[in-house]
Amino acid sequence: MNGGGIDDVIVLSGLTKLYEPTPRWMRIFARSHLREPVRALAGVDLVVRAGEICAVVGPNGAGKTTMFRIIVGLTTATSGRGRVLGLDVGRDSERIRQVVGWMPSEDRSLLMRATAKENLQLHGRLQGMRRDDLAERIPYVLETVSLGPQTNTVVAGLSAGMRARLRLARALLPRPRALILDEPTGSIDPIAAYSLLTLIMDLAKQERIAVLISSHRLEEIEALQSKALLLDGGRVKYSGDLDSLRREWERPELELVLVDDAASVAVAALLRAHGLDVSIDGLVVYCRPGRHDRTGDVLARLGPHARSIEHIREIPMPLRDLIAQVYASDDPIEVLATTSGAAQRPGPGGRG
Amino acid sequence: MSQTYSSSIVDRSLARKVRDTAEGYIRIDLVEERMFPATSVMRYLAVGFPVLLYYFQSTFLEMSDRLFVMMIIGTAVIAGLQDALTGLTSRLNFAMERGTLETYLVEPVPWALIPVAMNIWRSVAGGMLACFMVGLGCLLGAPINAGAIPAALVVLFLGIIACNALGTFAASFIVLFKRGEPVVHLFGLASAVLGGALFPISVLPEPVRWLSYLVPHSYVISVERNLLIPGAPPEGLPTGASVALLVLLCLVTFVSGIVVFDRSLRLARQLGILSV
Repeated sequence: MNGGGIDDVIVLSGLTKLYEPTPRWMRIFARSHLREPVRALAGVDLVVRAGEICAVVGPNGAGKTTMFRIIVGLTTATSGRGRVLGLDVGRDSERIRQVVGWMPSEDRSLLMRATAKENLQLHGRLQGMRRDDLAERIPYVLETVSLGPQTNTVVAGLSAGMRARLRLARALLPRPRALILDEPTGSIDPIAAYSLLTLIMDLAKQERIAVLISSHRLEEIEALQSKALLLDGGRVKYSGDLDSLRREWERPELELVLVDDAASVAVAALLRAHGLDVSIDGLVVYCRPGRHDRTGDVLARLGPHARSIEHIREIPMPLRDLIAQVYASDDPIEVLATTSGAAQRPGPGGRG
Repeated sequence: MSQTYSSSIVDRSLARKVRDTAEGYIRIDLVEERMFPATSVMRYLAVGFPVLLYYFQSTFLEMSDRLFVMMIIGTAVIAGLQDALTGLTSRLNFAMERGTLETYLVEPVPWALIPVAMNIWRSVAGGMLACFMVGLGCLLGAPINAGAIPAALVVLFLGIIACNALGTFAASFIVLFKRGEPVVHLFGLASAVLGGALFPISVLPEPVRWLSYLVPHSYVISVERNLLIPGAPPEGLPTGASVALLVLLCLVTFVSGIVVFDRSLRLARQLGILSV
């Protein structure tokens, strides 16, 4: 498998998608909004292994959905390669759809007037599952997502959280080896989202499913303890685990509590003089060290004034700010070595 | 290749995929029928009115029973084939608007099977409507050759296949341009005229009559009339020739419809407009 590991489930290399303008002959029948080619993905490299979760993060138009659609065969790549369990995403799309569980972002993908069980029966039959297998598997997956009591409830009568879990149950039904979850928590409340994500983490570990998940809620991405693929305009801004991202990019804010007002003013002035962002709140001075500064470097700059510090605390940077910093950077971004086997080299998108 | 692969993929024969897909979509339709039981009842009530309309018109105009049954058969065939013709486009449109089309397309079945499976139930229901209309006409005194009913059903079935195939062309239009109703609407209305729903196609002007031979409705209507109306004078082409041409039309339109639909899906996939 291209020299890939035995556990590699989803392997993308140099995946590029260019949306071409609609051909002229088609414009006779329908107007097109696309007049110029649009690059949705530019040389994306990614490996997701069995039991691993990879969060795909990026603003709207970053290329997340295009990437997912290429994997499940709803669109084709312009260049590069994509493989799922060794199967080519372009040629073997039908077989890939048998091993990939797809959870679209919208409830509307469910048959609203059918029951939870009927929705799963339809999906199972199209997946080629035998009747006896389905009879066993449907109660199992519904129990897994805690929807056992709703087996015979019409989908229209389920809450948004229940529908999200039903979409997950549908994706899990044919025992997929990979799950693609497109904003799975988009329409549900934080508590339901937390329980859904916990379930996804458990499933990934227990059933060794490779999971690709996109979400706009960064606190959820952090809770998943997954590796992350940061996309921007179709280019990879970062690929690796979140711990490495933090190590490389985090600039925790320092909270210095001084002994008196005069000391806080003096310390703030000194730090400003060294070019740091500083704010004062009574006896407390807040400052954010530079990207390559350690806390000790900051204290060293204070000289004898350091003696007037009564208390010091590092305030971790919220993931939102961390990612914003990565996106804002024009520096070449080195894709870090990870413990989870993510792509080790920067893609063409390594430069912002 | 991963160890998990061989245990995950179930290799199915094409026949099994056809069966699974047809069963899956018929199941959806039955769920819909069950959810809205009154809809079916109302559809049957609705098609009863044209039969009554022609009955009272024929009484008022002192038309013969033969003319009455001729109009009933023509109207029933048009109504019956309409579902086969428009069912797929309305279904696809509905799925696209609702967002379920994407879910159908990520199922591991050949895309070419989808239009066939999606319209089985609607086509059968359309055929049953046609039978209901003719049956109601019978109750109102229209003379029917009962012995020819099995042969008439076979011809109706052939017409349903041909119209499904034509519906597949319109569905291809929907896949690429997101609108297909104008095509089937135009064809549906034209076929009532060209097929001779209320008259024999011999009354059409010569240049127009040739167009009649391009729509399956004209073959089905003329054969049904020849079969079901006792002592009917031969209408249009001989029955055998009409059936042979209908079979040929079925084959050509069915195969080409599936190919065109499959190609349209592939083009839409490449352009990134599939189910968008």
